[in-house]
Amino acid sequence: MKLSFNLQDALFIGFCATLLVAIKSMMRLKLGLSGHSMLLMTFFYLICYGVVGKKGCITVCGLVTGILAMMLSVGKGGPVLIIKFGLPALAMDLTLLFIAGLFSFRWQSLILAATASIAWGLKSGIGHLLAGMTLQVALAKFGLEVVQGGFFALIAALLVPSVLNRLQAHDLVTPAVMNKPSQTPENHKD
Amino acid sequence: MQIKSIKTSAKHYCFAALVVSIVLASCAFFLPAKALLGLVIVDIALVLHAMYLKQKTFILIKMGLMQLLVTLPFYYFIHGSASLFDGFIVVLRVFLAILPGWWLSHTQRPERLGEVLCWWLPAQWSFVIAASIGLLPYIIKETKEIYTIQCLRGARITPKALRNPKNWCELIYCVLLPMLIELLKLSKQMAQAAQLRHFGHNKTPTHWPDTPDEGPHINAVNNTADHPANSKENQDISPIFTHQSTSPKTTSTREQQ
Repeated sequence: MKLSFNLQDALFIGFCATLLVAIKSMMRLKLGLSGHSMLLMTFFYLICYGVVGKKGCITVCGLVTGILAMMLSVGKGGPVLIIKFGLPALAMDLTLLFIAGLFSFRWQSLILAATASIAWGLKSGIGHLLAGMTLQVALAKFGLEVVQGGFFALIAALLVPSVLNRLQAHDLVTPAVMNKPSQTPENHKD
Repeated sequence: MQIKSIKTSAKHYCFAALVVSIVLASCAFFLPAKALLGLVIVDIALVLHAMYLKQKTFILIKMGLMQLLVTLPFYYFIHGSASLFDGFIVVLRVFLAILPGWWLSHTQRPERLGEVLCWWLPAQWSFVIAASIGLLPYIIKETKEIYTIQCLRGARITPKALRNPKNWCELIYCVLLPMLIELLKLSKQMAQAAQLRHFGHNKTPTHWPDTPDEGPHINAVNNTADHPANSKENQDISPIFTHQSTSPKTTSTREQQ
């Protein structure tokens, strides 16, 4: 599946991941809000999906982001980052398998954002449980993270369609990619 | 020959470090509480090693304190003050799980890590990752320039204005949208440049080797130096650029000699 991307799409996914990592490293100290990384993460993942428009592109973007963040030691660094960035992306792609073609792009983004924030909370929840945290505390922290992350992810999901519209207006994105889910759902299977 | 052996040992050392960090991180979750003390001692050694290489430990301390501040109140309110120690152990485990990763990325050079990761990644994706790291300085510079220009134009995206969530949309339209256009352009140019240089014809990618005299200033920029888009960056490091513009094929011929 990974090899089905052409080089230009692959490079665009890589650059999106780079920009995400770069902005994250620049903004981290300035905002200081927990969960704000979900804003950028969801935004770039959805942009990747909107521009490239192929199955698996979100997962690949997530994995590349994780690898880059690990290599450039953004934040805490280490192999955990691959899971941190990869898991929400994987969840988004899996959800996309079920909802592709059922909703308009706007609703798809909102659903994907919700899934991503649940996956984001789940990742740390499982980590805490493995570390021996009691179930109640782990659940409370899980809830807190989902609410925080979900808030930021939904903001991003609301912004993505209009950004893609503007890109489309400049003829930078082929219109078929963005409108595919709502207009010709049967084409999405390839 | 000497270069080749240095390169191989650096690669294996990096692979060993990756394995050690993964093993230590998983130990933090699965070891019984009594054995944690040993793990703490090993991890202190890692921190000392990183400090010896002049890495800053500020972010580690900050992260540990943040974890404590967020988790302990939950333990206090849900389980009472008696179980605060359990909470502390949990935070310690999470902290010990993150620390080896921090050590790995602060003591290993990005291009070696990239090379180790390429053992599992397809050639196209290792190229993408190398290209992204090579373009990182350019992307950061471009983003900062656009940000400054938009601030001068009067956009409400200064750090103070960004405290108000209403202005976040403006950040996206003023900074991220132009950057996305830039990235679309760059990816098109770079894909074309790579394909014109017969990218993908050779199944086994080669890497620029470590040379004994090279300092820490040489990083993963090497891997991607031969495309036009980041030539601006490479003017500063022209000796590397001239080496690299002879491209991966010469690397392998040099090794054969």
